[in-house]
Amino acid sequence: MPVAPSPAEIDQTEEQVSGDTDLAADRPWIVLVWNDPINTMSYVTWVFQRLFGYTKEKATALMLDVHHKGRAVVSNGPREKMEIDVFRLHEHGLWATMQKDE
Amino acid sequence: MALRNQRIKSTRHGTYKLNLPAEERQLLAHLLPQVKALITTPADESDERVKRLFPVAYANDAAHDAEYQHYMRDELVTSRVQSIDTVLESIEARELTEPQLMAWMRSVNAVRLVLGTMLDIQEDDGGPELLPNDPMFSEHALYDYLSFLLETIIEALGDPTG
Repeated sequence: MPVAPSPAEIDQTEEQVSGDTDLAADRPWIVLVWNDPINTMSYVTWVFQRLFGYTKEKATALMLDVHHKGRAVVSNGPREKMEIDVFRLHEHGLWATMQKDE
Repeated sequence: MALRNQRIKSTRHGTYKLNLPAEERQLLAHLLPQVKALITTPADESDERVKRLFPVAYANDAAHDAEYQHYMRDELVTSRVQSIDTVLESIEARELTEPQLMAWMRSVNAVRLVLGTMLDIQEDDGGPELLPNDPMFSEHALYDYLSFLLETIIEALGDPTG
């Protein structure tokens, strides 16, 4: 049975259609998590799920990006909000930094 | 797995049974005040262990980072100290709430970060087999124990979005 798209899904489509420039203006900052040899894979996955509400699949994919590529973008948005995300990641001992998305 | 799950077990009313032997509780009661001292009164800001607990926030922007640290560093100190105090207050508890168990998780990991930095733990440190006469043998054993305990806690907490 087909399911009507939720308002969130419609929003997402409109954002994608409106193009990169608008997105960049709305979301100028990104939070990166860097690979480190101490935090375990299961812990990092758990923290991504708990802090960002990501599904196990998404959190695991991000964790594997961190592990294999050395870093991953885990969050993006306004600067003040990204500072809070960095803080919460630091509270949990993850190596997180933020920068302008260029 | 089965062994681990006997140690920390979720209950039907959202709490966690904590079946840790007394000597493991004593070990944490001994280690955590040392980490707390390192956090609250670091002798040397350039100490790698301190830097690991308080990372840079703005990677390539010293001015923004100085501003961030000015406001947030004390918050992070407070948060870490609160977590450690929560563990020390519940060190003999047979049952923990979820916020308490999460404080245990963060604090156990903080000790791992300090110890792992001291031991210069490297990625997938299978390395050469550690011999009992290694001067850091007991520290490595401790690190392994804390990794095991952390894993136990994560398993007990379960899928946060599930």
